[in-house]
Amino acid sequence: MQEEFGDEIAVLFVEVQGADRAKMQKFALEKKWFGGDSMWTRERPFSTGMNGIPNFALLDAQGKVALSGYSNSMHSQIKDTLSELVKNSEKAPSHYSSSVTKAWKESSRGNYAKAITLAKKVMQKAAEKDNADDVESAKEVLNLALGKADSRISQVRWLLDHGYAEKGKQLLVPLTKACKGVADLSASCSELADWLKSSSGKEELSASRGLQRLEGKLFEDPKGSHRKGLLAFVEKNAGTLAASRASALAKICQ
Amino acid sequence: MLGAVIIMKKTLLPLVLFGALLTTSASAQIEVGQEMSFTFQNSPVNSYGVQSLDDLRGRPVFVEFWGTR
Repeated sequence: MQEEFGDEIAVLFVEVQGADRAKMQKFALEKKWFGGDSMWTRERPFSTGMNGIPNFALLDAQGKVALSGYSNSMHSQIKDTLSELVKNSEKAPSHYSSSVTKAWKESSRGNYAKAITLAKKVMQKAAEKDNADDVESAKEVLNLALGKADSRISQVRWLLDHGYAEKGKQLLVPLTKACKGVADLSASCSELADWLKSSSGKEELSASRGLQRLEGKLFEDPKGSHRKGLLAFVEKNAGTLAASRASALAKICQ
Repeated sequence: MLGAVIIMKKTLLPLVLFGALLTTSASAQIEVGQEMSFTFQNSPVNSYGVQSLDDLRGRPVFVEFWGTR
């Protein structure tokens, strides 16, 4: 599914047979799923009500259930529904006015500050004209853009806290640009950028780059002998978050 | 023949029920149109910091329930 739709969709696998995290990671590593866009978890976000596996649910871009059932017997229905959902995810809700749609488009392009500024302007103008519908729609877009920006900032913070400093930096650069002009968001981005410039940040950046290289080889050839290299990395970068991550990877390479 | 069916039912029913419990013991069941929200205790593997279903909004999400066995 991910191969067909690329990053137009997100794919989340939920392991429901009680495998621990290490077993699940080992399984995914052997299948060469690491490094791709799919995600795996053992936490069930909900139940589809199906008794057998694999079963699935499709959520639309707003997080609403569009379809559910057994994966093996509904392949073409899943594909058709996903194509439709992808198309719809690129369209603003039909009841939005053109000015609200403009703000919505900026938000969906990741231009959060622009979306926020536009939505606020629409809210103000619509309020002056007693246009309650536009006020409400613009408020929705404002909250959407703020929520997305917050979510991205949290994601970067998570990456920096978990040994993915390089990946975090790659996301932070465009995010800082996208948030420029909104004080709270810009302050959060600056705080993260400052940490990356600190001595610990620099150390983590260098370590995470090194680990990325090792991961590339491991994900490409999971059956090769990578454990020694990972353990040497752990020793060389002892005390870093990237080293903790490498140590966990070495365990699943056993 | 009927006896064998009854015996099979008696043997298989607990297994089927156990299997159902294994795969459906999570939170409430879903309905089409229902808005889903969930916060993960641990960020999913390979997600680079996704912390909730809300973080995935903006594009469709295919959620598959599967097993490693």
